[in-house]
Amino acid sequence: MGFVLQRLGHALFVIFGAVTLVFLILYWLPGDPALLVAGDGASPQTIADIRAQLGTTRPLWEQYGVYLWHLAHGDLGISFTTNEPVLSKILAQLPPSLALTLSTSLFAICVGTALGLLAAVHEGKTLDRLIQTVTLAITAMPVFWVGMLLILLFSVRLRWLPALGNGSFKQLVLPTLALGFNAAGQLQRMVRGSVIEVLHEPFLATLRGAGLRERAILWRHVLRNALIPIVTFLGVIMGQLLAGVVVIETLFARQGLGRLIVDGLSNKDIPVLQGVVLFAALFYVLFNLLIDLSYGWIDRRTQL
Amino acid sequence: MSDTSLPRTRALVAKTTTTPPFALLGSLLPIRQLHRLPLVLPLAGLVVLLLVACAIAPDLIAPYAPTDFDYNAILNPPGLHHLFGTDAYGRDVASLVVYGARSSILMAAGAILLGMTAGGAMGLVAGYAGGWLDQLLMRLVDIWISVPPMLLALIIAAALQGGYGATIIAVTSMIVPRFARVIRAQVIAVKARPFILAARTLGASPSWILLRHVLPHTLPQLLVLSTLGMAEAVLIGASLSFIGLGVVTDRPDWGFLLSQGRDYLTVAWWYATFPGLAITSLAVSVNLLGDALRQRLDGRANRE
Amino acid sequence: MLTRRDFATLITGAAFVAGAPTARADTTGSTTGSTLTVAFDGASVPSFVLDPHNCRFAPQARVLRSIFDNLVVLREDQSVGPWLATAWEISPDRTQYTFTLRQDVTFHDGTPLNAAAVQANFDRILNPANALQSLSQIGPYTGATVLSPFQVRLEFSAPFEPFLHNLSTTGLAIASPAAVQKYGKAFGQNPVGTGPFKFTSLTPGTQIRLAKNLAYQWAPAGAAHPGPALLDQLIFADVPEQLTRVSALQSGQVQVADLIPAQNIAAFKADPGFTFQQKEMLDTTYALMPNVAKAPWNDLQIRQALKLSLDIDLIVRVIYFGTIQRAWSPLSHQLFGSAEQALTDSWKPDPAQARAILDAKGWVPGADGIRVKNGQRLSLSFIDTQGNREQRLDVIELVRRQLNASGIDLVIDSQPPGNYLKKLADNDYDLAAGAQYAADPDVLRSFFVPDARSQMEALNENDPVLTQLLVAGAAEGDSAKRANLYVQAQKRIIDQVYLIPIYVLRYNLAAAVNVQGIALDAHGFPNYHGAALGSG
Repeated sequence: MGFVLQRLGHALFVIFGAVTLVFLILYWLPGDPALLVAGDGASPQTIADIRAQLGTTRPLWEQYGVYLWHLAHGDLGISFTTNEPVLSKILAQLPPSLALTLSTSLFAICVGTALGLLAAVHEGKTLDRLIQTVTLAITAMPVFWVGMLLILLFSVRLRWLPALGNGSFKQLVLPTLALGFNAAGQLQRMVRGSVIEVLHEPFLATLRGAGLRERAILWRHVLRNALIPIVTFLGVIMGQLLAGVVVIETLFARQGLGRLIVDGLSNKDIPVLQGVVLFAALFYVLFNLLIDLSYGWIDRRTQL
Repeated sequence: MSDTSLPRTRALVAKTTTTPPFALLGSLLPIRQLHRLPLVLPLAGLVVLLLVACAIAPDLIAPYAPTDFDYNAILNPPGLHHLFGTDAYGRDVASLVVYGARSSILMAAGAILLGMTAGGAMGLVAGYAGGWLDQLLMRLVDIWISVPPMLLALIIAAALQGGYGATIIAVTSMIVPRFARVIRAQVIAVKARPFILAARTLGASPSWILLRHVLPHTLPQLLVLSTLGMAEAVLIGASLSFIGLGVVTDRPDWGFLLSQGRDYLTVAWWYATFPGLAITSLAVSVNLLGDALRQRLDGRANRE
Repeated sequence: MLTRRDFATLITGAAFVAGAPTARADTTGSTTGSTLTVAFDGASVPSFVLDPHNCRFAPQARVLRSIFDNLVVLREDQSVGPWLATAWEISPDRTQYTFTLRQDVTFHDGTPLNAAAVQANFDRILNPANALQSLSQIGPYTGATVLSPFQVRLEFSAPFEPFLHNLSTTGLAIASPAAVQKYGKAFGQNPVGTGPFKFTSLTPGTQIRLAKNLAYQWAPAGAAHPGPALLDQLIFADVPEQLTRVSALQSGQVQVADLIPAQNIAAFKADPGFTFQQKEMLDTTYALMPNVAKAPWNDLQIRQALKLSLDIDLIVRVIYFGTIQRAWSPLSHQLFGSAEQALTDSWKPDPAQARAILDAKGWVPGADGIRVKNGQRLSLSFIDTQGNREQRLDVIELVRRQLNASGIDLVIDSQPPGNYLKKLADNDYDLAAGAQYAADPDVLRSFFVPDARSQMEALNENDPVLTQLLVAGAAEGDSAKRANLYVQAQKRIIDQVYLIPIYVLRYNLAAAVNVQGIALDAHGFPNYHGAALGSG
């Protein structure tokens, strides 16, 4: 229990640090949001009033203090550009991003693990090399390029799947593939590596000697070991996916956190950007906390 | 190990060498069989050499200058005169790809160099000094990593008002914490070796030991990380270009060309395809080389 | 690329295409009846602000057109006709406009349209605390008087001739005062008007859904029909990616896509599965604007050297494949008072002359061919915020190339909107460019007259001659005289090289062949009131 508390404390500290770090960088973001908020014919006085209202002219420490004070009260602030509460803005955009992240993880886990196992079992043979070559190439392609090619093939040429939007399962397919190929390729390599390692372990020979069937060994002992890279991978991929969605959401005209980020950056909408970073860090840290805790559980299961 | 916050994870991760304790690079791990095939490594080396040659002396390789606009040959398909076709200004795409090598490779190399220096220094100091300095630096790294890397890169690129330098810094920001973690671990391992203890008892100053004895032992690791990081840096640069925060310049750049060409994908496939292939071939080749390098080093470490 | 569609159309005729939209409707999650989905270029502005009085971007104004009506409508000949106002009278001193309103109009929320509602709209815009974009559209408006339930008098402190034209734009559309009161600053996410479609929902950055306004009976003369819209639902999907927008239309996921890039136009025109229409917008033409308040561009001769270095015919032909026209005047030629005819062929590119000017001014070519004087390079920092929308950066690329030949360099400084405006305000740039939608030549006042200057506009020059012409233009009651004042003003702008016009924007859209009745109005905005999904 102490371990859990310690990790929880660490997680809180990291989230707090992330928010502070990003606040500092955003403070240097160039531009004057007041000019955007003010009308086209606004007088200098109006612009000055808006600046004061937004609080963007206050010194750094004061802005930071105000931000923390509001944060401590669960208030993420109001968007500069649309005057909506940041929290509701984020909550509205979260589900599509989450759906894409989850579907991509699922795809990556299924395909990546299968290919990894397949390659490991056929280590050094043609199939292994084929899988290795394909994954090597696909992970070396920018995801937006993969996305573009998918649109051309599946939307324009074959007309099987929609190219844009979100809401339905069909609309999730192409973005998932665009991100998922890359993720599956990465996982494939990790699974393959660790399975090969286990396959070479002496204890397997003992098991074989004890008369266990090859298939049983593979499923009961080898695959379990593959759990570790999968779980580790999940922690890694979450951070990556949150970033990947920025690009993929733009390409597929999907709703989501990525659009909020791009919009926030172009309008210097600091409260929105802070909010997204807070959510991303929270998500990432808590997820990795879960992963850390799950290692213990897997560890027990993999012990013989 | 002085890091007490992750005792179980560390132990477990250490057990399977294919599962790294840090993000992303783990995914670029062993492609074991592939680079043992005859010809694969020489081929990868040749590609990298060729691309580096393009970066150094594009004028000797490219059939045209990137400033040769031929208004009578706009969006011409690949043919005898233009091997990779022409772009929307009638420029030779093959020449653009050759000239683009400079901008893209310099960006990636610059980011890696900066990241290696900053991250390596952090890792060296933290690992060698231990104690509160180690704690401080490593908590900073924890925070740094908790902001999704691409998100951080986007914010930094925007804060620095975009452009070439901003892209380099943005990509660097994603690399630094990783270098710091890996080098720190390496330093801690080296620190316990007998010759360091010997040097210490002989009264050598800490900075002398660090530079003369510890640093050389971390160089191989740095080299591997750098090679593998190159591929990622090129891919991230391309993504930043896609979002519109990357290199927007008169210098041809692969990522910029790929994102420019996307608008012409349905009428002139070659415009985006060849810069995309350039990115992919560089990423694949450096990954193969980096991996071979790692295995060599692993082998040597095992023999020692 | 489109062989499958061609094939299918060939075999089954139009029936195949006609049956498709209903079958496809599920991809966007719609429910019943005829639904038209439009993929529009939202110019990468994911925050929809559907407040007509606070709308900065033309793409959002294109959506507003379906939700809101105006007091008057602009006709093709640039005169204004009745719409929500059946008649109006202007006082002899031209400072008071008395409008008589239709009596059968209600807003989507049930609020009746009456004199008080109109008054509330203009007072809202006037209030500086609201900081609304449309403030510049009402000029010296001081207030309104309700004369009777359906008669309202708008009062100005001085004659303001652009008013009727401005009144026809979405910027001065009439919004429900009850809804403005109810939603306050969030009105932009909950727009309520009197238009043929009512707002149902929006998904930030991706989708705006509208539904037929069943009560609609007040379309202006010239509309396809007076009554309710023919479509049950109208969905606007914001798809800033050109490739995705074009792909979605080609794949049948949407029925309409707008701002088709030049390189794809030929394919849509040739394909019997689609219709393509386009219209020149009323606007200031896309033009380069040297920073005349900054050396060396404050020197007219240097600006002339800039202009003479450019072969604009070539640039427009190369980039847009002949799909749009080059521009000669600051105002697009259909706009009232445009000097396009007078200025056509008024100058020719002359790089030799440009080089001679620069030589004479002491700018000598340096080692890299770029001219230098007193250690300063002759380099333009071009400030941009929109990226390659409408291939504008491609235009700049060719401009750079032509300038280089004269020994002038150009560097693109791409900035997000917030910083773009700041750099303009701080005078921290050498060259800007842009086009501004407008229904009246008075828009030039917001460019050039110091106290009317809009923050969006880059020019910081105070030219008394030009100011006098533009101020007189805003107050001139005689239409012919007024047009003449603006022609003179535009000639001066071109002579002084305050602007170098490049091209006239054509709004365009492509639609599946079964979509009928989309009109492009006198402003060049799409109107979906008469649109329908054909049965074959």
